[in-house]
Amino acid sequence: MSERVAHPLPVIAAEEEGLLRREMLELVGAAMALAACEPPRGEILPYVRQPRELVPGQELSYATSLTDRGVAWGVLVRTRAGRPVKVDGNPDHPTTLGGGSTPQLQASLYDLYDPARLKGLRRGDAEISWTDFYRALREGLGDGRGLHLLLEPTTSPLLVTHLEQLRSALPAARIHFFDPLASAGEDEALRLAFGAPRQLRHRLDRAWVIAAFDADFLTDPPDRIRLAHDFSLRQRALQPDERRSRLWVAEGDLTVTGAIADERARVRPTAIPSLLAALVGELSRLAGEAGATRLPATDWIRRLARDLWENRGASAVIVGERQPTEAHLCGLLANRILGNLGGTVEVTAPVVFERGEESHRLDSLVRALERGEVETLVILGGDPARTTPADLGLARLLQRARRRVYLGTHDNATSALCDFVLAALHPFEQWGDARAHDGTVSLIQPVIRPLWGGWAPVEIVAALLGNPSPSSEALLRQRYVSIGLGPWQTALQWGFLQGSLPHLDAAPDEAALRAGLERAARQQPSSDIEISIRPDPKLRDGRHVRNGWLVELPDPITSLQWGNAALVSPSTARRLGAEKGQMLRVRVGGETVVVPVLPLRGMADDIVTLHLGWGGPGPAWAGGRQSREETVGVDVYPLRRGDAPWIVAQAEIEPASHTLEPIGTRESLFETLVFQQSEFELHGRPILLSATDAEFRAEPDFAGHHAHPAPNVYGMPWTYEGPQWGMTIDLTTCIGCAACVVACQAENNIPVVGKTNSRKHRSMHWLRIDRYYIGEGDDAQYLPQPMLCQHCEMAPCEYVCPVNATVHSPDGLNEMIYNRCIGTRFCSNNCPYKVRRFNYFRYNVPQEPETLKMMNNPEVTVRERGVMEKCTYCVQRIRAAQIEARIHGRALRDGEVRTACQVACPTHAIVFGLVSDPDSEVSRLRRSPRSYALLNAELGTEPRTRYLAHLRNRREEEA
Amino acid sequence: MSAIYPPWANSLFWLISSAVGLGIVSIPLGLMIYVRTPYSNDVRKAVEQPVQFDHRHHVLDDGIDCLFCHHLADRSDSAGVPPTELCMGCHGQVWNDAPILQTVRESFFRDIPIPWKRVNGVPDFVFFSHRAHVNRGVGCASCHGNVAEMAAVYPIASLKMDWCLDCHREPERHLRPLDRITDMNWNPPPLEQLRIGREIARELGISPPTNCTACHR
Repeated sequence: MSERVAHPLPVIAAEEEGLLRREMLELVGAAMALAACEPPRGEILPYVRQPRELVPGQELSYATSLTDRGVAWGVLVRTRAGRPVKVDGNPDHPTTLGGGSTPQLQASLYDLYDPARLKGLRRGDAEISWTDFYRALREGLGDGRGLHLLLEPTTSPLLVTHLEQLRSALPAARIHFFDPLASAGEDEALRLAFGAPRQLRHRLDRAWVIAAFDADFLTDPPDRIRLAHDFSLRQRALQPDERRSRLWVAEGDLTVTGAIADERARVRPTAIPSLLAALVGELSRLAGEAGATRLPATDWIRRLARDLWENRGASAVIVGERQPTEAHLCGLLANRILGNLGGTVEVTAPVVFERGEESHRLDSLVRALERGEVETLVILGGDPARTTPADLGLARLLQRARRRVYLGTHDNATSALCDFVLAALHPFEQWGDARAHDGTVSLIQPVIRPLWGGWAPVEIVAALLGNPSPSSEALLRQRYVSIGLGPWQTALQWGFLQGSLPHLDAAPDEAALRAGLERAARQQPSSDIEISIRPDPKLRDGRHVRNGWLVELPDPITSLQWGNAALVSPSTARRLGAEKGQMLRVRVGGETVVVPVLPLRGMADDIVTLHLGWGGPGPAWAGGRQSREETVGVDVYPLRRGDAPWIVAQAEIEPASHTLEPIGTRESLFETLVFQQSEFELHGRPILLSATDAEFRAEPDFAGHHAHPAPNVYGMPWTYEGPQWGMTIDLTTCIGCAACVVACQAENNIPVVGKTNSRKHRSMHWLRIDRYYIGEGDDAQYLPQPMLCQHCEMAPCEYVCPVNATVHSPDGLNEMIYNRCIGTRFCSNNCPYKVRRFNYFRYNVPQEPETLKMMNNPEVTVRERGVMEKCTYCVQRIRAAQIEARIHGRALRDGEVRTACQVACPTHAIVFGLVSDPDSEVSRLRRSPRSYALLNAELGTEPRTRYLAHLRNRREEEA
Repeated sequence: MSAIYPPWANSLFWLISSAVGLGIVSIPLGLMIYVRTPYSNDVRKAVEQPVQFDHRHHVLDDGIDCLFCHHLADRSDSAGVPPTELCMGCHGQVWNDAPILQTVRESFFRDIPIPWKRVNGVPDFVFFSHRAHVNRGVGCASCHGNVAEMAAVYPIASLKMDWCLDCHREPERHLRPLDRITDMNWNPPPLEQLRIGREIARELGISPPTNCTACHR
């Protein structure tokens, strides 16, 4: 009892814990008695020695880097009193140009503070000291015979230097790299075409026509932020006469890129190579080249070929990484014919160390393990026991290594098999470097002292080299010792060193390309239902499965939270005889996976899409208490074969049924999927407006820009003085990546509510991305629409509040006052946009561990139970900017206040600013004929948020 | 038949009725008065600090300006308590063996912050910015009182919302020239204050916000 009343208010979030009524009343009584006493006076703990650069109470930003599959993302980390509270893209960095984000970049903060992270160093179950570990590690190393290192792919010059030193100091040691998301096709094609390892760099800012074949380039590649940024530059158009780029996508799965494509073809992944061969045939014919293969081309391919040809030199053909070598050779050939190489498609040396070379294949490690030749296996990062192809049996073979060392962030399948388990440092806790997708060297500097101790991979390599107390700081400074102190400080301030890899202007080997074309032309798609495995848009290879923000984030396509599903087209679902939520048994080789079905319009027929990365323990804390979910989602890694890691043609698929499982109940045959959005059709309602470019030219006012608002209960408009705020969201450039959703969560202390509460639609996201189908059948687009508080001038929420907890501000904001709110929820009922969120339980306090509290933004109130909340237009940023401007006695500048979602948007679809200033960016956008006020003509709410109607750039051809 | 009630029952009835009536009026009234007195809050209650720091000595005897120690007040949202380092800047030289400064020396040499007790605090849902006020004509003493004369610092106001709003609605009653911000004895006659206040408000363009998100975010 005394423990329970340690906090003055009882824990009523115990709904599912079955707290007895009497026990509850006791708690309430005890709490009231306690609450009557005065709380102890707070303490002020000043610094003993205040750091010179720090002004306590004010924020301080540092430039550092994160890595995605080894490739650096430049980030700016905002810290308060020495703890990171927000992460954003570094706008000057080549990979994050413009400062955009991905959900993963935003959620890296949660990874840092995750209370489930590994701590310290242990051998078996016993904690040991670094010295003991160091001695054990160095014992009997000799010339390195029997020493194998398994790393994640790296671009870090510091780590590469150390690996090379290791190779010369211990010549018999072997180094391997493994990335579950890598596939050999593209590397092999580039090696055949250019005679050496190469990588492609797409410059979409130079392209008018982009054709993506099974390539979700806005979600998958490490440089996706840059690609999205460049892509958006030629997407925007305010007036009808502006030219826009056109996106063609051929794909089987419905992806973020495909959903917004101007022209889309639903093609199964195994049909992509022959489709590319047909495209090359058409292009050769148009170019009048000799040796043009005569291949049957669909109408779609003929139209695409003409469009590409008319824009030769300013077009790009992108082939998805998981496609086979011949598909990539066809893509190269198409780009060569179109004269895109060196323009929209650049060829450079690879930035990932030894990419496409022997060390990136696991064969030699598996052979050595089988022969029992491995003395010491050092695994630095990743979870190879789970993520390597199932038929390799690495999890079984690992035990043949005499000593197994694992450095990782969490306990997982690999750590369970290792003797020595070391905690890995988060990138925000260490020194280091990595290269951007274009080769720019980016620096990693710590922004917080290690929370629970730990090591960087390079420190373990240095220890193997005989450094008894390696420190990443000293190692890094040594690596760049030729750079003087001044330039070094400057580089740390910017986050990177200038200088990128040049385009290598060599013609590809024509014979190799043609050979690839021949092979691709002969390829026949399989006739069975095939399994298409993709990295998860949120969790990638599964490294983020413990991240509450990402697990609760609705999937950008399906809106699924807390789990994954087998995605099939509605007709395939009928063919399989499976309904939504019904469990599907998928058997490949000897392995079976049981996963719920989700029919999804827009999927190609006869494929089943499964997302990697789910399964295993999820976030440790959710909804203000320790999570009781044992696993989140279904692990589909067991289905991957070494020879078919992405597309599996031979699979047995059948829905789970009572005939198969006679003792099964309905509950075990079905699973309730958790969605944030429940309706994806517009039913003719004017919510997401869309038109083709031609219709826009014919009728510029299609969005009803001048539509007269319906009368409202207020009667007369407000009179405003001073600066007025507003936002525009361009539905044409929005790609629906959901980076803004996580950015909002990080900025505004939005709690994770857990699976049970998410199922009851209690997730707290202030900003959500709705998706709607526009069009019928194959022709449909599946468009995203960010939905947040519209800040109505005639707000329906305001006049129903009995306690004036939501009121209008003189600068046009719809204010939400938490300390006044009594939780009637009338406002939410009366909100036509459904953007208000209610704190049903103590999601934020008090059980939450210390580190998750450190994650909170001190500029925003941490809301209690029973309080309504919603988007505030990041009012804390507005007020801070106003204070700054007033102190300096000047007016606010346009662009001075940027909301968290706006900063995170890689395509700059969200613009916030002063609508009272006619020259501001937001005013300029509001004047576009595409601008419309959502539901204003119907309800007269006069929202301050305006949408710019979506445009679809269809290719219009005279027959 | 005898009477059911004895004669004094009438008196008792009137006594009880008037007591109840008085109670209905006076108890709420009393409570309402009570919350408005310093007894219900910590106003004018001196706070005992881990170090017996005397503002009188430092400000009046030594003539040290507020901003010398509280140097964040015009740069940061929080005015802050100075780092131990700053104390030791002087007290490493003067009174460097005084027993009263033992805690300060310990803090400095053992690198442990001094746990000062908060005197003036606002709830967590209130966001107050010192620099927004100190740079805009609000003097230290307007909220903190004449700290220079306090042996141990105590709050002079409840810091409740109506108290904040009084000034936000009529700032001219409190504004002072920017060079008199740290002046503890700024006290012009009311009419003179109004004239100066209006002039400063015009000069600096001061129109304090009274909407909710000015302080609650």
